[in-house]
Amino acid sequence: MLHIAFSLGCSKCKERAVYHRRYSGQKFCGEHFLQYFENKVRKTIQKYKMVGRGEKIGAALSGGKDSITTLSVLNALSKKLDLEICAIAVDEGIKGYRNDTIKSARSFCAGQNIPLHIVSFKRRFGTTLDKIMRQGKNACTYCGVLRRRVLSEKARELGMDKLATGHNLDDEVQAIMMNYIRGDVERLVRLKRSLLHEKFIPRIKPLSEMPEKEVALYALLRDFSVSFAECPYSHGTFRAGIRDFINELEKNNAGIKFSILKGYQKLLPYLELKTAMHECELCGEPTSQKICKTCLLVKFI
Amino acid sequence: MRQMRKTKRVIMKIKVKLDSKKSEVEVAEGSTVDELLEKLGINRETVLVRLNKEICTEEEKLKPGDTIEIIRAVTGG
Repeated sequence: MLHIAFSLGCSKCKERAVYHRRYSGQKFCGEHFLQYFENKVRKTIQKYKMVGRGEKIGAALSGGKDSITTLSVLNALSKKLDLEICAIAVDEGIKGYRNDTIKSARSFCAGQNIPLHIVSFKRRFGTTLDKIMRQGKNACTYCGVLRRRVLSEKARELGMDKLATGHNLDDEVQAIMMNYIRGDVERLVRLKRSLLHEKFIPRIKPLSEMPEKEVALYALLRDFSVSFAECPYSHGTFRAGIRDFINELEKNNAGIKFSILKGYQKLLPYLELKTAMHECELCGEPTSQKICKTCLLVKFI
Repeated sequence: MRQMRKTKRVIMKIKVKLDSKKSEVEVAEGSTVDELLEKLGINRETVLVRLNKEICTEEEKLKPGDTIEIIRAVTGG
């Protein structure tokens, strides 16, 4: 009986555990989980030299668990590293989903005294993602490309040094697997090695080594008022299929997500980036093609 | 010849809240949260669980009358 009672306890203090990190065998109570999580994110930021002292960081904020956690961790670091933090939220126009997350974003920023800038597809492109979907387009393709564009433009307008996004380990591993499976080596390399251009604001991903489940638990324990609702357009996408497949593998092989990431990092030095960055012939934004993806997509909406 | 002894499996009822729907699920006595998730066809890697309002690990044992809330945490967006 004693053994059972202890096996359910935190590996550090024997309090009741709230999380079993299967890939390391450790168990954490709420307090020790929060400590572990924040330390690991800080170490990830240091390991990849994501921020420099005195930098201006714009954090892309959707109002979901990942972006609110990213913003919160960066904000906690801002005093120590003399960072200037602001949040940029994108309203793509997804009725019944984005309204709630924007509300969470507003209330979080107000509570933490973080300046919030909201940009919308409607104001920038004259349409919403709902309308684009009604034209039978692929939601994720349009949303991803247009969202990256409005975020870049706003970050540049605000004079930001870096743009932080809430991508977690699951997002990273899904992107790696998607590009492997599609045979898109160019994009596979660009996941970690951005093309350089003076107009391009470098991206940082402080949660890139935190599993999504851990981010969700952190948001829940910190009592962030976030919705766990899934984007209504994500069902049946290629990414959703890859996500389910990887989670099935992880269930029976704890740590597989980290193995995929580490394997990719080992492979990276052998991969060459063949394209260079130049300006789009139509809009002047940095792109690796003659015409950027945004201009190509906007023509059809 | 030794006779095989039939053991009676005791069933217990657990209240489950999932996607704002409430239901009652029957599991064998002594089952864990993990076994309940398995029965519901839910991958433990994608959810967080509250047992009687407290977040718990999947190894936690269930008792008759327990309330489980399953939060779909891994949604990718």
